[in-house]
Amino acid sequence: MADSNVLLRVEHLCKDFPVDKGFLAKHSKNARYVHAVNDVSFDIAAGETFGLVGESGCGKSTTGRCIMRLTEPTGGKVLFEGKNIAEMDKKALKSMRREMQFIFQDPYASLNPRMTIGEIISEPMVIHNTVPDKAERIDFVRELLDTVGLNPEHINRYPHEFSGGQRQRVGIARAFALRPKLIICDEPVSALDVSIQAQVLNLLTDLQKEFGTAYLFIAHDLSVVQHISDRVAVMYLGNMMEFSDWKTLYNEPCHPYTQSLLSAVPIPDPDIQGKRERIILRGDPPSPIDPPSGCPFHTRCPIAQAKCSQEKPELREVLPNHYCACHFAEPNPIKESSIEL
Amino acid sequence: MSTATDKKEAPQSQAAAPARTLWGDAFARLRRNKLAVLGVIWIIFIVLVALTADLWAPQLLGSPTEMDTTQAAATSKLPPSLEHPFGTDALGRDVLVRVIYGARVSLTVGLLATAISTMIGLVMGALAAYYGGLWDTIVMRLADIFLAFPYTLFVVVMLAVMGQGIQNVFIAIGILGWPSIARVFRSTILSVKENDYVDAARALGASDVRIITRHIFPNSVASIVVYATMNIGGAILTEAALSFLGMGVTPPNPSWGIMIQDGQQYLATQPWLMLMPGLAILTTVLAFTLLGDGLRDALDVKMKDA
Amino acid sequence: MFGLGLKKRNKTDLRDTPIPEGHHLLEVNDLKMYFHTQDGVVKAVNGVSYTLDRGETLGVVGESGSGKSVTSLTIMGLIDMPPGKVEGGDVLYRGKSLINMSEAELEGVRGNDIAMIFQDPMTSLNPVYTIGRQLSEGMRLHKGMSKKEAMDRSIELLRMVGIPNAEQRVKEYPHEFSGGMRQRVMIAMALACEPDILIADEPTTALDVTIQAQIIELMQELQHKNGNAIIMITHDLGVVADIADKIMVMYAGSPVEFGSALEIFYEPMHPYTWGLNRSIPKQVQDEKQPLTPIKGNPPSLVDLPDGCPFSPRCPYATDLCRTQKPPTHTTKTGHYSKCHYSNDEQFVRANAPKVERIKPGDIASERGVDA
Repeated sequence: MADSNVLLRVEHLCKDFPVDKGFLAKHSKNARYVHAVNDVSFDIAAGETFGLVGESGCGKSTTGRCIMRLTEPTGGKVLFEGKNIAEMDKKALKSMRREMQFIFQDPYASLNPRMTIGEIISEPMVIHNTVPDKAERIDFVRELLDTVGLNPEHINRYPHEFSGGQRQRVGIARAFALRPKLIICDEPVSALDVSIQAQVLNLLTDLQKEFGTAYLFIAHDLSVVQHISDRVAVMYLGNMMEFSDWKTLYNEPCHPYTQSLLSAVPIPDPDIQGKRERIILRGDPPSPIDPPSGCPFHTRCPIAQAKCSQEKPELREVLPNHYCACHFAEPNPIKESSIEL
Repeated sequence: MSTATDKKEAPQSQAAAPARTLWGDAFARLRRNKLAVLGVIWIIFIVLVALTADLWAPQLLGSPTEMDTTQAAATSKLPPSLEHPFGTDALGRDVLVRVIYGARVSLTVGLLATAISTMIGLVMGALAAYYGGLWDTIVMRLADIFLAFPYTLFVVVMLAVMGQGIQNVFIAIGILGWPSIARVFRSTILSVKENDYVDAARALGASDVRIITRHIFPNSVASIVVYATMNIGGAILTEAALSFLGMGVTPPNPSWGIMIQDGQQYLATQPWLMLMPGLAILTTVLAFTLLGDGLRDALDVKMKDA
Repeated sequence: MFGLGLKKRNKTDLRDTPIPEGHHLLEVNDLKMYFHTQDGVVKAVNGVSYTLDRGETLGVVGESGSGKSVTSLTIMGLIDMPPGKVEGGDVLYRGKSLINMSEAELEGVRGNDIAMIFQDPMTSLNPVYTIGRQLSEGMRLHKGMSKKEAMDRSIELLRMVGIPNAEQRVKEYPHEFSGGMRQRVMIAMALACEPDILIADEPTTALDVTIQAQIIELMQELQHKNGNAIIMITHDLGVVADIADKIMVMYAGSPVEFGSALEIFYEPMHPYTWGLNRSIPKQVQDEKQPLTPIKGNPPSLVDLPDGCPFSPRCPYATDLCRTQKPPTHTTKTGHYSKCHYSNDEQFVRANAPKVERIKPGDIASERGVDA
């Protein structure tokens, strides 16, 4: 990927949360920390969709929030068009936020219940004063409502009058109101029913085609991420385990964690599901307060060796543009593609 | 268990109704709550009576303060009758007119004390919740200290320092009432702050002022309205208790607390002397509590979907 | 469920009575459960029918509000009445009606012959009692076990569901367990009395995929050992493909299609099943296929459309669909679909999603092979 094309570059991003709340506890000497994000680096090109998958508590959402600076990162750089977001002052941050937007998981909590959907969607335009004229703004909101598949006549209604899928469309309209270059989508469809989920995924794809927006798509559902992403990264316990283009990652995953994750996803096809070999991981993910030494995955890894508990594997390029953080990584084609009958 | 599932399976509203405002909706819901409506009617009635008392009450029932020393025996401690619906007290004054003028004291103290508590409480609560950290620690520990003092005793001491009189009563009650309001407001703001729409506004680049005024405040105000409404009843009770102890409003001005105090010695023989002001306190405090309860249900946006 | 008053009951369990001739383990016949609310009558379950035998797994698939949970809660007698009311139909367990059973009789069945696992392992366990105590309770109630016996059995159960260090953990409280571990405890609790039927309501939805795989494997293993039937309620077609022998697809309170897993996945007859199938992203090797969502939103259960409940969203709907309730079209294998056009083979062949099987074969003859 040509460097000039890079829209967002994340370098060695770290985020630790203090475990104990309260002013005194936070400033005590033996304060404990949740290591939510640990030295994560990747970049996103203009117009592409970068998928970030992992199980709950793996730090994928925190990564998204740190990039947006909804959460202050504790270390590393976030370069948006070459400028470091992590060091921006309020004014610079505000202008950056015109270019970068966020779509939230919960369509109920992400819309202010005391505002009409017209007010909600026009808020970004008011804040950044992009459309100063009120009448013009209303026209624009109506247009946006139409674009996301809602009835423009509903502009004066309140969020509680809409279903979950419709609310998520409102959230999408708000994110697109400023025509940003990058949208961070944090589990945008996981609260929705299957049939509605497909509507929203298609809408996101269509809008990307129309406006050339790049997405950082954060989700736990591997099939959804595969469907929408160009490149995919897998996180575990705050660490980036593997990333590459979707085809390679899904068909020839290198990392034993990616392999077991993919094999754990039930496939809606009884023939395949009944025949495929599955790696079932034992145990639970360790606590991010007290992560294991060496490779974070070694406690559950089926191929772990002595080295894994001592030395932390670096993210290395095992194949061109295919990065993997494992001492023993080898490309491993997923089994069901070659089922012998 | 089954109830939780019922809710999940309940029908989703299908966005077919015409545009309505949330406050309009809340009002409509309040109107459907019979007990709350009863509370409102009673409060309006008391307020109207207290406000217009000068225009008709003394003319009909006699002065609330002037005592009839000449015919004391003939006019004092009369049982309720047409002429004196609530009877008369030991000094020959009409009990009804004293209850009416007592309402002025109670309502003034209730409303103004709550206004003072709410104002201080809002500022303190907002400071603690929005800025957090050291601010939160200072404000909340201060509130803890206030709450740890025996409340009535504290008011008594304050009144002893400031002197008696109705304005000192509501100032003292008001100043001492802020910690609970600050706590309620702080926890409300903290929970509102957790909502994604606040993060959404930050992600849009909204300023602190905008986030507080457009997003946090409108969603927190409901709980304050509810709490303040209930607090009015509490302040009325405190005033009555103070007057009962002789620390509140000075005689011969009528106050429900003083009237109960005066009447207690006649409880066995002339119970109306104590019963009437007692009923006045009971109904008024109850009315504010019912209204508060009704408001809580009416202002809860989430209840709509349930 | 967590009551303290333990009444010991020593009577024969229903599951020891043989299934009468011509009956199944569980039969649900045209069950209707309505809720009478302020906003009107919520038709949460509107004519559900199916049969279940020992060792079988039924997958119930549907979106939120489709009535899939309420159906099972009705079978368990866990719906508050009012506002709920059984408006028709019956549920027969070993030939005996659960609907007409007294509350006392039902208590003997619930948690004993038919047990249930809920979605949220966080709220299904009582935080103030130890795991051991919660596990023992059911056994002391239904089996008349002593405290000691029940505790020993609890340890055994925890071991069975794969909780390491069971002797120690039985004394711990729910908050000391992770989500996956709690769901294992729930399964242990449900299996404590060796039920005939295990109803699992979205048991893995709150869990991560790697934990989900563990739980599903565990449920299958235990079923293999105990021979119990499972009703798996889920919105995830992948999970039912993994575990179910039979599948019921529900929409707006009605079962729209019922058949063997192979029939539902490879020979679906109902347009809603087709729509679901086309809505989910497929695992693909090369080119991604676009999703075809079902347009619109599910109807309100208070105000169901005339005719077929799916007609407002169905791309093939005709005037007939919009005005007439669809008949139930049943094939000779018992595969049924509630659509006016399911018996039109040409229509079904032309519009059903083309699923290429990796192992083509005669579905009818494979029915129930996995059982």
